[in-house]
Amino acid sequence: LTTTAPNPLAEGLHEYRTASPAVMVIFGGTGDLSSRKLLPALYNLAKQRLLPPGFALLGAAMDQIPADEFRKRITTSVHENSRTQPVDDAVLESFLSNVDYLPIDFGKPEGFQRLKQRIEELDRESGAGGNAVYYCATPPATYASIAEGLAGAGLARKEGSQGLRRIVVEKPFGTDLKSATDLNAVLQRTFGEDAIFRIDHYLGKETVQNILAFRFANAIFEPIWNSHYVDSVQITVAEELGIEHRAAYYDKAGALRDIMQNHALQLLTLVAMEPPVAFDAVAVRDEKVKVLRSVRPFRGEEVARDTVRGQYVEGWVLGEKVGGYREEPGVAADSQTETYASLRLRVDNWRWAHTPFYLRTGKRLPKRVTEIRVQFKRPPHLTFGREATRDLEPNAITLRIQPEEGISLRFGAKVPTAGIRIRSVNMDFLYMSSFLLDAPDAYERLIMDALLGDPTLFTRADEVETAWRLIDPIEASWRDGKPPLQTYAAGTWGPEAADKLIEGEDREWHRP
Amino acid sequence: MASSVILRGLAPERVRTLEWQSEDTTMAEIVTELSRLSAKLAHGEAGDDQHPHPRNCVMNIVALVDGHHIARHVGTILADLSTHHPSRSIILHQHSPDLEQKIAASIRCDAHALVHGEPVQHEQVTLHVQGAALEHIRSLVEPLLTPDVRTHLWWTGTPPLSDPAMHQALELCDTLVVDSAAFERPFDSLLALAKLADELSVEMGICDLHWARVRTWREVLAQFFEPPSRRPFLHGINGVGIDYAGEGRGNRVAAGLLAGWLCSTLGWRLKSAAAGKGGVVAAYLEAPAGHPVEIAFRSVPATGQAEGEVLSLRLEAAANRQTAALSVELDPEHEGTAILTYGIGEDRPVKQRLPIAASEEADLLIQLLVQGRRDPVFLRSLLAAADLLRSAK
Repeated sequence: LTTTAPNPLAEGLHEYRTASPAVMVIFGGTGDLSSRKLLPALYNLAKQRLLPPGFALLGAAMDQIPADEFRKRITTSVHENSRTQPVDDAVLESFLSNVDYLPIDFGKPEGFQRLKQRIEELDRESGAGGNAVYYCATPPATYASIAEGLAGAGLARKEGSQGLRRIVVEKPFGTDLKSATDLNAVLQRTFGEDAIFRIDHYLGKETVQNILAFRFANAIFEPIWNSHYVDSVQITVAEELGIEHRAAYYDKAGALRDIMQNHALQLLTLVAMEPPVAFDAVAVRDEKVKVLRSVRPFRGEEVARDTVRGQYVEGWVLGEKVGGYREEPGVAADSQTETYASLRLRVDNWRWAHTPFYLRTGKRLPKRVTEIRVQFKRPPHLTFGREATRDLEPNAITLRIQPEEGISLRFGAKVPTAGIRIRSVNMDFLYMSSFLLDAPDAYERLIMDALLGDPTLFTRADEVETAWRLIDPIEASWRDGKPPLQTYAAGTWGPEAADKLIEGEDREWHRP
Repeated sequence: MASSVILRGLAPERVRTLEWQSEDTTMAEIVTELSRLSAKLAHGEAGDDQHPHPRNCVMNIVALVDGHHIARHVGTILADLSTHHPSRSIILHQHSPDLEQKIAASIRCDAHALVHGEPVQHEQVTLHVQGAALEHIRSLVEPLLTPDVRTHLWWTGTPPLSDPAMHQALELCDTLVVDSAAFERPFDSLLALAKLADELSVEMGICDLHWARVRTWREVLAQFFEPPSRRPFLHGINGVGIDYAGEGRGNRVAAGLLAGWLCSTLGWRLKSAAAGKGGVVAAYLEAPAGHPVEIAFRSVPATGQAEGEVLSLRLEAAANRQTAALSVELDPEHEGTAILTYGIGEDRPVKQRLPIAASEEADLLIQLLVQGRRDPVFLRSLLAAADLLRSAK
């Protein structure tokens, strides 16, 4: 990255961030992710005037279609999926005037030579200054061959007076430690770590970033954010949906790889990390990695004791009867893939010693909800007596990530009667009630960050590998049937064994 | 006098409204009624065993207006604003101070249930005041303010910038909002605004809706000069041309602010300036590197554009033995877009269309209010614009 003095003209333009002009190539430009997320996000960036003059978009995919057809598909996807409606035709038209398309076979070197030629033409036409950003909206198995293809055509590393080169890849980053390490090695060899942007779109969510704002922009919470006051932390990532035509992927991945290894552990790092010295890529990611390194690795029988895996069977979700996992199209009748996982983790550092972290994720749970619940210890002495505080639960702060982003504080209050009776009440804060502004979509934020070259909200290689180091022993033990796969009825909060996991320590799962 | 506010952006079926009005009332009664309506609305959705919904007001906004039409317009804008920022708004319609003392008022409280069911409240108090109380604006407004949140004072039209009543009103707010596009005598008011800005304490902010309107132009220039390879040209600018809508001198404030922004940001020192016929202003400056810079702006008749609106901007620069030229022009054939054309050295000129849609007043207010109290870039641009226009007089 080139270090240069700040642009004096940008001063005072709040929320203004501008990237250098670039040709952005989306591999898989005609695919589902592009259509649902990336292209609408780019349109909305254009609408907010955040795309720099000189920006050009090149769709690259296997489909043999002309550029006009690609532009038509963009128009359709923006109309169907843009978060801002109605679509501004003037913005869309000006955006499309800088869009082109190239059919390409990712497996053939000549395809990348044609790509090089087309990028150079677009660069001249748009004044992109030789800068290129490549977005892999393709199956993870293609990342390495795309990176190698780009490198083979001289399109990867910045050399001499060439412009910047960056590559963006989507999670999952590998399927275990070895595959993740192999992928990192290819990407680092071809692009270099500074130019790799690994997207876990959870980190682009406004409310996930708000965890850091809540913790580190306020003085009143951090002093009690430790094992002296915190009894336990629960992280829930629940979905009411099943696998939705993703059997081919999901049956190999399971809940542990699909959600726990990335989203759930990311939330853990944000809630448990030490204050970074600055909100920048190095400081924030260093602290996140430290948390992952502090998590006590599972050994031997610990997996059977501290983890639960489950698979949903027939049940009722949102008032509708749904089939079991093994009845989903494309899933083997004897599939052992878990659709539910819960873990009890210990974070062995000064702040969190003796505070357990309970993580759970699953499909076909009662509702879609993601939240972090920090439960505090009870007061050391019951001033009002046991009877008066019979209904009083421990204090808790709940950070709600989705669907209703907000923060809830539970505390005790006197019931307005003649006697003394203390009951738990909630003080709720909803982001939507105080900030009625449309939050940008996670992809808008992350695409913009990739164009700007700001990797703070992207996952670093060591972060990915450290997470896999925690997950691999669990996977290995689960393959050996330890603990055995449990079942749970669709529409419930998981198998009974998950309740026992937490009840054994005189706690219970919070009902989100 | 019932409020005719239509809440744009709110789903009418989810808005619950309580209203009160009186043709002859007292401030004490208004405060009581506001409190009653607010509490009643808060309890409205809550069940017997629930708490009333918490206050989610994030600011007070006080608008001073002097005409029925303006009052209605401002009422609508503030209601729009509340769909983004839950707020209490107070519209003070100033009638003649020479008439007998009288206060008429209306209150409208809306609770809008958001999609997830939680209500957001907006309270709007409209006061019609005549008589001596108008010389004590603070006593009219302060009892109605929600505590512990910022208060923004929006003075529509031409604020009496040197009037004691104005200074008294400033004491109760954190930010003064004006619109220099609406100044009756733009030149004189701009100078007065610059003087006020120079005198105010650092805690007090001044915002100008017209400054928010030129933001798009600032963004385009900032984006153009973002790549490090173009940065030398930024410090090598030697010519600036700005066209604005109007005839004769018209309203030069936006053009002046844009020029003032460039001068103050790039450290150009004003040497001299002259005004010619047809609103032409030419200013001669010196860049920190010692080379001369010429700024010219002129009015151009333009249908469909508000008077004073910037129509185009041209820059010429030289650096590293190369020249660069940039122009941004509103595209009259494609509303909401501009054509950016630039050429650097021997490279083929590049032409691109950019979205550059005009913002409505509610959006401009949001832009200004989310920035915070004080915008030092605006203040220094305002002072530089005042210097430049004063020299050209």
